[in-house]
Amino acid sequence: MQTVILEVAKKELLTYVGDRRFLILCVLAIAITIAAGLGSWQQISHAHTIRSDAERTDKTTWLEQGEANPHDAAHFGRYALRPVPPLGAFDSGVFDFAGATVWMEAHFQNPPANRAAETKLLSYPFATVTPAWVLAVIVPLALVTLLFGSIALERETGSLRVLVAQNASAWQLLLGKGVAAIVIALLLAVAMVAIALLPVFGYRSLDIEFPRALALVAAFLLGYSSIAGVVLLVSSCATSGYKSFWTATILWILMAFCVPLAGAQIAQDAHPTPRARSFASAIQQEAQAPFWLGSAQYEEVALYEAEVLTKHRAVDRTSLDLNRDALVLQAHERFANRVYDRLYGDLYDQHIKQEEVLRMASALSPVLALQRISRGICGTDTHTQVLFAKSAEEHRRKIVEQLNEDMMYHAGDQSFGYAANRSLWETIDDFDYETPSLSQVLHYYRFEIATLLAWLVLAGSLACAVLGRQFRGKLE
Amino acid sequence: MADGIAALQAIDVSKSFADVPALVGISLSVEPGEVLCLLGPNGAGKTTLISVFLGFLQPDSGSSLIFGVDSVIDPVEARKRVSYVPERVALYPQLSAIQNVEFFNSFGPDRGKTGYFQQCLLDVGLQEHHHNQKTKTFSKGMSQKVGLAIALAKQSEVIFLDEPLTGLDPGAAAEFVSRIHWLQESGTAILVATHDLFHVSSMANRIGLLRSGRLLDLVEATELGAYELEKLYLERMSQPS
Amino acid sequence: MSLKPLLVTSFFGCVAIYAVISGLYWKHATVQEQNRPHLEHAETQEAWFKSLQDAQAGLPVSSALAHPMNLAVLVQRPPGVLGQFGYSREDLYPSAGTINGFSNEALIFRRYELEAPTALMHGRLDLTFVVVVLLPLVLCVLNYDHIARDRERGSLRVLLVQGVRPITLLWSRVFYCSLPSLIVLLLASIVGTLAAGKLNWETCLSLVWWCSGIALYWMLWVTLCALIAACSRNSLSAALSSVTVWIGLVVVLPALLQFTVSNIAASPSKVQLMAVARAAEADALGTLDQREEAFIAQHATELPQSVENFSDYYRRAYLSNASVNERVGTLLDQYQDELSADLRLLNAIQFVSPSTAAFRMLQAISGSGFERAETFQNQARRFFREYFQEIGVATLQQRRLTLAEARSIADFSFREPLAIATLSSSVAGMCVFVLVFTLVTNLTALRMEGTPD
Repeated sequence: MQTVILEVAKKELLTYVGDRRFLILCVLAIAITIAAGLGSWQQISHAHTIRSDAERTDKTTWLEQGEANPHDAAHFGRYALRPVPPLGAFDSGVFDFAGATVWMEAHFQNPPANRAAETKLLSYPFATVTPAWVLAVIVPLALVTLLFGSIALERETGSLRVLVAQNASAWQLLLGKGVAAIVIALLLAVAMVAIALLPVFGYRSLDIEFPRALALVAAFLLGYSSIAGVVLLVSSCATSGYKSFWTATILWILMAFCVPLAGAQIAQDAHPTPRARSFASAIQQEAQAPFWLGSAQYEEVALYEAEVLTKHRAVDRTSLDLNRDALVLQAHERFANRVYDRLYGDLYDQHIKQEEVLRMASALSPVLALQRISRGICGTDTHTQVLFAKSAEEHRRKIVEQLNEDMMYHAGDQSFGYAANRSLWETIDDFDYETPSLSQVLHYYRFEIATLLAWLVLAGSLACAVLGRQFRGKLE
Repeated sequence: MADGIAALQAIDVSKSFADVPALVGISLSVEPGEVLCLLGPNGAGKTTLISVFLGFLQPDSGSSLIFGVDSVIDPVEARKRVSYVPERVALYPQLSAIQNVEFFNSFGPDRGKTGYFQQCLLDVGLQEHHHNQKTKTFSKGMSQKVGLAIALAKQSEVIFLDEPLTGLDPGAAAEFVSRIHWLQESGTAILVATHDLFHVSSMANRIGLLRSGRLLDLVEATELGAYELEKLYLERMSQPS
Repeated sequence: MSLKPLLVTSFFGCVAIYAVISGLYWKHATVQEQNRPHLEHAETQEAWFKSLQDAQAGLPVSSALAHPMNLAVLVQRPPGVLGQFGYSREDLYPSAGTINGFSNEALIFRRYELEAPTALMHGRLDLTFVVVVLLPLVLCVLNYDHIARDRERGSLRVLLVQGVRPITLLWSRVFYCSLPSLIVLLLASIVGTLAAGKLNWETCLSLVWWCSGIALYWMLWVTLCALIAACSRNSLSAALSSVTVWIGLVVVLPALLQFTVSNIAASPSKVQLMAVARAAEADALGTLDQREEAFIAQHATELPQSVENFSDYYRRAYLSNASVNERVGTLLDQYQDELSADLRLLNAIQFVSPSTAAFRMLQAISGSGFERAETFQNQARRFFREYFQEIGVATLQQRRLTLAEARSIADFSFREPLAIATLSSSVAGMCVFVLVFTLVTNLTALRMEGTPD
């Protein structure tokens, strides 16, 4: 039986190699991938250089700010710069549409800002040419042109009748054709991922993790197998070659463009993010005004003071020579942070809920599922961005507390007249953020992986069932 | 080869499409080494009967047996002993003649070797220098020969030929008929659907006249000359249904 | 009309209506947001003017109130005249900026960037998307096999013998099937404009432009579909050609053009701008005394001669920001020059991609997209430079602005750009395509009279 499947696969491969349309598409896809790979690498490398420069500037500026009051320094703040993932050159994902920096200042939590997409000259819909775009959108189209006629055209020309008369079984045929498609897909995936990652040798500052590259190949192979299954199913059901072609093409358009767009639309309608001005007002009214102008300060300061005294087993502030102003400032941080936890928690919840809608949408589109996994592996997805924002906020709280505590313990009566110097600035840690590991990413995107598997199994078994039924008296 | 039962047997087979009868109570049988030609105009039900025998269509009533195996109940088993050459032989244009024969015969338990397939192609009259040519360059007659070679290579005991002579020039048609006789002599039962009055007498042992799904006559080919057959055919076809 | 065109056109109509409704909703929400009082400032513009009036009336007012440095001006970019039709990524670009004496050019548009990146990446379904992306697909689906199916059946020969001219057959079928989709779009546009609010001459004129733009793009695709229909031998090759053309022109070419532009004309990085501003800020703090002397030298005639008068908080902040502005401004001016060159390049090469040309044309007409957002930021920056100059003199002179001065400074209104270059190059490009396609289609149809197969 295995030899039969291999014979079918061999014949299909011979046919593919002779198919001009498919060859042209492959050559085009490879050419675009090479161009896209080089372009993306140049952009990512440029972004990496700019980030490194900005990080250096920020550190130098911070260390060389001279003598200053620690709380003034907290206002002067520091920037958390989002790392540039090397695989961003393969799949830029949401990278350009997400803020690249977080300003870490006293009293205020800030969301990531400075989105690269704002300065792009053209914003044509769905048109960011990256190797991943070619692999996830154009190659499935190549699979459609390759496979739409695999059963339907055989039926149309009559060869299917002869094959059935020669005792071919539905699953042998489908599996043989599927194996051929997967072999082609595997070759394409390996070749194109390799082509896309080739420029890495020219950019030695960016190191690619080999397991991630392998995971990408595996993800694309799984994705292509699912898509091949769907096209084979369409081809098995369609009554003629052009009907099969239209159905498969419309499905491709739906999967590659309509489902992601509709998913994003529904996500934004169902879980809208707050508008900037309302959000700013909420921060003013809930995190600032109640403390500085309202009655919240007294209670908050008392609580914090008690906590500090307990920590030092002291009876009152004077015995520790605590600076009252610094105490108040840090008490405000604690007060505001609770508000930020709520406001930003809700904000990021909305982001994640929007992601969940798209995750559900990916159940309808193997292309979207594949794109989401690819972005995750490359570290250019919204999940990674939210983790970056949260990590930056944790760091902000840490450094502001450190600076306020320095003033609290050392300013004495000088209060704002107290100045610290470089030795304090040097104790402030630089922001360090690691993107989620590969296993975390795969765990996070387990639904999408399961979706692809489900599509593969469902489409494959349905195609087998449909064709098997046709072979048993329903061929006409 | 013969195991005491008919190679093909149709018992009261009926089939209709959306209330239009395509086959009405057809009963016939074909013995091993016999050629039965079903003669009739377009839409008479010839191809439908072949489809029923091959298990591509389920009859509304009746049964179709291939060496006693019901092709409706167990189409896979039934098809093991048959080959089929459709009206328009569909070959894979990117493959050569030999590759086509090899591929179409990769599904059975005893797959032959390349030498055997080449012999099959030679047996049906395809010259050796065409064996490795891509079939997209082939004429209808050459494709037909490859189709027959595919059927032959399976070493089946029954062959269905659907309008095998349509589109062939007289020389090619005569050559094709001689190949059928050669197969018949080796004991193969052959069911031919055709509307070619000119060749049918020389091709068949028996001739079945079919019109609107009904088998009007089943006559021995030796009983009728070409003129009598034409007369009978025109007479039957002009009768009110 | 047979079932297929009816179904396809109805579905298309529903999508267009949805796009218009969601655009209207966005416009309404944006206008409401822009009309909200701006609560993040301690002293709103209204309160500032009130304090100034009190001070001028001789009432006791704290020196911190109505200070020139605190005169906050909110610069806003309202939705475009037909902004509801092209709002897909409008939330990506800054639509408001806060200007006061403490701002610098790098900070004017600093805001809470709250939108989810995925949402921004996918954009939203607006009427521009429906026109540029979906309309061609619908036209392809409706028109691909007008001639091929007759060729396949052999009925084309019969029709020709019966005296039907292929050119008439082709164009009548194409127009019959395509016209409803244009009518649907025009109706959706008119309803969407009427529902957006009061009509004025500007809106009516924009609507006429918008409808003409849609009609031109529709014409382009109708002629292209006619050409495909005329050239295809059978239904399958017609279907393959239609899909290839749609993918090529609507997806791949624009993508490649965008890719080319973004690589040739590398846009400046906002992170780089942030880093420059940061370094400038630190330098300004460190070299404040020198800055002070430089400023005094430049404004010697306008300032009191006593240097001791300037040692206050506002003056320090002002001088610090002046220094930052100078460095950031240089970078922004440089960026502006590069951008102008890039736009000229884009206008010149967008001919290769009719869909990109149509996309930019519709954005320019509706009042949306990058160019308009960029114009707004430039106008706001120019305004800021004048504003900063004006309050600088008063701040360093340690006096309040007069009411007339303040009123003239605080007045910003966005002037809609006239994207003549974009529009003319887009329209010209599409007209050329329409003419070429029509000509080739007619020639093919004429040839068909002699060789129908």
